[in-house]
Amino acid sequence: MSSVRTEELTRPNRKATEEENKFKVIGTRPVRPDGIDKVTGKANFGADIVLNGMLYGAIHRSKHAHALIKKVDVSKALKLEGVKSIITHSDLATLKPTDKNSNVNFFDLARNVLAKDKVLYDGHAIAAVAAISQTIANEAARLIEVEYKILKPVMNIKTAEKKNTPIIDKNIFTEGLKEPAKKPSNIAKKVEFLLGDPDKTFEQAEIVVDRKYSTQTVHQGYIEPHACAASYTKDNQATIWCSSQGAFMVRAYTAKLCGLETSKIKVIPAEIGGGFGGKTTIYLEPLAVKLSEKTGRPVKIVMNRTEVMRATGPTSGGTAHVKLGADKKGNFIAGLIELKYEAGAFAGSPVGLGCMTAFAPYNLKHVKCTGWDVLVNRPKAAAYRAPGAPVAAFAVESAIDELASKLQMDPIHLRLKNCATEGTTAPYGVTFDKIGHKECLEAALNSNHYRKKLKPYQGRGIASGFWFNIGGNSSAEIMINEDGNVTVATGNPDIGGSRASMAMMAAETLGINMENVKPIVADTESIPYSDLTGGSRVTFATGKAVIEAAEDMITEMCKRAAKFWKVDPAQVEWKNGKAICIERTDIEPMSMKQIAKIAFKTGGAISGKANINVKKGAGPGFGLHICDVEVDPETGRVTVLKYTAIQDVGKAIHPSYVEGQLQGGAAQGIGWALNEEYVYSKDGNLMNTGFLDYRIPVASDLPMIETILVEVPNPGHPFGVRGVGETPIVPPLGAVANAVSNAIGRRMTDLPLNPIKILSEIG
Amino acid sequence: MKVFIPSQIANGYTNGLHELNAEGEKLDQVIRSLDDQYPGIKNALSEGFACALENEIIHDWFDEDIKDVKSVRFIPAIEGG
Amino acid sequence: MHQMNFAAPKTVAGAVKLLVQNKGRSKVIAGGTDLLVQLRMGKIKPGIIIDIKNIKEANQITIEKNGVRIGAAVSGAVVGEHESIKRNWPGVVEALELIGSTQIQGRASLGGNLCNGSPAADSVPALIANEAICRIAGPNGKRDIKVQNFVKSPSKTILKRDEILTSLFLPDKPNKSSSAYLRLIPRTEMDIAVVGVAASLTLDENNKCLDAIICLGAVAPKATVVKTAKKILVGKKINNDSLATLGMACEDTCDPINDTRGTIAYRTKVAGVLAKRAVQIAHTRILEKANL
Repeated sequence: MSSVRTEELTRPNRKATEEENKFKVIGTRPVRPDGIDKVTGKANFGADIVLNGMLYGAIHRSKHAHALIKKVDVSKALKLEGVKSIITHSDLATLKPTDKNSNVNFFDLARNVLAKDKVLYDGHAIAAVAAISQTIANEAARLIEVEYKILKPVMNIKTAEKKNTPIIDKNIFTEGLKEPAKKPSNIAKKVEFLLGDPDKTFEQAEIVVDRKYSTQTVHQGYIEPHACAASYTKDNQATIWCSSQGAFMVRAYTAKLCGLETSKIKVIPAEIGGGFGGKTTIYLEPLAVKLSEKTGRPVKIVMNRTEVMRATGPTSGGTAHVKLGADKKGNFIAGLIELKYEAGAFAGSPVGLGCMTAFAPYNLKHVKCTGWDVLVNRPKAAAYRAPGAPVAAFAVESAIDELASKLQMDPIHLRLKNCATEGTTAPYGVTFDKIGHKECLEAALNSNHYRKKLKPYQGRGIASGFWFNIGGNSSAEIMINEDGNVTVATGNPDIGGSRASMAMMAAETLGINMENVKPIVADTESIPYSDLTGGSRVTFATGKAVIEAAEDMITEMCKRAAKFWKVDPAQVEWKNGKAICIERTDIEPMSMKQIAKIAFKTGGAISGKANINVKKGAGPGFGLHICDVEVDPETGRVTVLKYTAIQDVGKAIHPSYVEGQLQGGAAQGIGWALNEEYVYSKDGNLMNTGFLDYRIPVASDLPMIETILVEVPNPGHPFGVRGVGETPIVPPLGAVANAVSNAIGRRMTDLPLNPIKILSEIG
Repeated sequence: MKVFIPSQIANGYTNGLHELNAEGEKLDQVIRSLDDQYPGIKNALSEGFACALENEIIHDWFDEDIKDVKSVRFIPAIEGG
Repeated sequence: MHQMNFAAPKTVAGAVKLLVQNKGRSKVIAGGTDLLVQLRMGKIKPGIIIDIKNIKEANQITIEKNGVRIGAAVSGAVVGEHESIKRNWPGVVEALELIGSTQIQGRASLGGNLCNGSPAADSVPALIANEAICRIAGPNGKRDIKVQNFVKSPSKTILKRDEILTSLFLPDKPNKSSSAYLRLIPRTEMDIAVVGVAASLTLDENNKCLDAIICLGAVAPKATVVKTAKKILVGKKINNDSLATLGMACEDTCDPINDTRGTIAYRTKVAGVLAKRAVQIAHTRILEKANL
């Protein structure tokens, strides 16, 4: 990709070539191992699975946003020839509200995959059918009759908060209040993060910006709809083929909802056509398993786009109220933010993460972040790249832009003056190690983009973004095959080019070429437990497991060489892909190919493994985006003219795929800022259930997203890797909104900035 | 040793107190000492909370060495997308 | 259960026969870019789908004495490569080419766009502005009717249940004529017009307006001609004054709805803006052609 090259000369922080020469494989751009299959249509995704005797599933969904289910009549549907079984919520395991762990509330999850007593959003699943053909299954789903008592829907935060408003879930009492809540509420939780004494400190501020912002519900927009096939056998074991961000997650969640022991289920990961966080939960798998159990035949269920939009995880729309105080020189003094996020019909919006990330890019001693988790009759929010952060960053970065113009200061200089660096304590309590926010800001100042002149009705916006990045549980196994080539297995579905980076890290560690390493994504019975692919953790944590597994195998290979050479193992070292006997020039070093040949003689097949929980060292990611737009003053239409995404990526293992992450995050964020939103009717029915009217950007809507990779190596990883997948979606909302605001001379605070909204502002 | 806890936990177990004092060189010792003062708080913190120690957020916290740590802060577990 | 047949007759007579036999339970398919979506969404349940892609008349472009005849099923990609159509009816070509993606262009047709009856169809205002004529075949033979009179209301056309649209005729234009089509969509492609405006313009030897037809899409139940446009422009130079008056006349002609794609106020205002721009483009095209 040429995007980086244009900026290469001006790139700061490009440390010596010495550092780069250290690596042979890392930092190069080989073709990805899964690439050929994907571009030739050979890759098997969730919907591609075909099994002998397979039945087809379909789901009857609610046409109401909020209603009591009085009766579900399946008699007509069952009479249809070819229909084999129909299930409802009562066919799932019986769960209690206390059935939850730190990640998930299974009581809610079960009521989400099949409604219990009450439907909570338009498209809420009520019953699932299995039949001998898709056509018959669809017809049967249509023939299911549901008798409702319709309730008034609660479609937004304003309505949810009102007194005497309908209560979506009578078991919800607001958590986190000083006085325990006595009455049920649509507000599930209040969270608060406090640093210093912001209320008092505000009195010292010479300049204060104080403004409210709002955003709408948006979907991840993965191209592949949810799909799975399940086969339940007479010995009460189930196998599931599906695309997801975590086969172990699917196994654990499905087991719980089906009342099975975890080990009775095997999940075989299919290729995944995008997830972005949306496939960190389940919708279809327990239904397919139960239908398969009832019919004794495999069952496949594939959603269509309308079902994806109506019933799978979007991320929260929300409101933000920001107050930011500074002195006349532009030093930030105190910051306040109050966030309210729509959780959908079940508690659990990412509002806490919004609070924690809001001011994280800045050195502020006095901060208060308050968050409210609000239930509305919309689908249950699921994770979406850097969950919670983009909305908070939109508000804070807009406020900083406004502050910069009040101070008549360059917005990058203002950020430089206040940016978090090593030693800064973030509002959520962590003191940063080596981070690269400052380096990103400097790279922006030095970029050709930032020097480019603008014309009338054009505007430039910049915004920073932060994401924690996490570690977690990862497993890797590595083995030499008989021919001396290597297979690396991990338990993490490849959603962002991770097979390439796993193979490259293994090759680098072993001192061999990447072509000699085959990376695979193993099923739940072929590799020990791994946390799901998410949180920008895989290249960092699973990469670390791969490196350790490779080192483990190196130890074994050295032992085998020593045995073969009849020397002390302490005399054998691994160098440049070969075992070397030190101090013995008469012994020829042994390559992997040769070691493979002596494996059986010296004790059997050779492999290495690492099963680790990476608790420390996931270096946080910072990014800065520059966006130029042009606004058509007569129609309000925005054209993105030029866009640059800059990010501290630690060390880019495969720079093209790191750039791809930056470009993809920017593209999704631009869509979020300009045109994407869920549009509901007065009665709570989703009006734009397809990509025609839910407008994610198409290729021609965007300029080439240029990238600048800043590499401040993460001290917590052997190769300096930081997670990169989530940070890139944090800045675009603010960058685009600031650009539009600067183009038209009016502060735009309500996303999306579609032509109608802009024209009504300027026309 | 200062221990900061989120308001949900404070309201349920410490009568609203966010900033607590506890002793110990290992994290699990500190938590035990807290649980003696505020029964049940250990289980509550074990569900869905990570622990911020200086420059790290620790999930699945257990017996981390905190001899040189000035404060421990419990925060919501970080999920990702 | 819904059963559906498929037929691909080779002649117009064969297609009409099937239509007569199936008594309104049939749907005619050309490219199917609208029909297949409707079928998949369960909006229609035809007893038979009659494919007209094997019928010669519906699939050819013929230069006739007074104009060009384009088969109802000829795809956008084919029309877009036809030199004389591009030269003489640029507004029609650019409207047709705006429909869908490159892949869709291999299937989408003028006939399909018209028969779908959508108020937001891109090619329909352009056809109307260029005074195109539909040729319809039925059990009693052929009949011709202006495109302007073809659509009655959203999804409803004047086609009887045993009739079929076989071709569209574009009458020749005077030398100093050209046309343009503009639409407003929030995206750049793969979208449906919030507002569409087609302009057809003819100038006299002094470059004053000799004739003008402006047709608006997506701002009323069907594509609508701005009746006062002729009066406003004819005899005048195309300049800011005449265009400002035209813009207001377009706004007055609008009778749009509020929906997920646009508001009444927005559609009305932008119809005027796009009309002015479309006339300007057509004007520039005439002058460029004269300079060649």
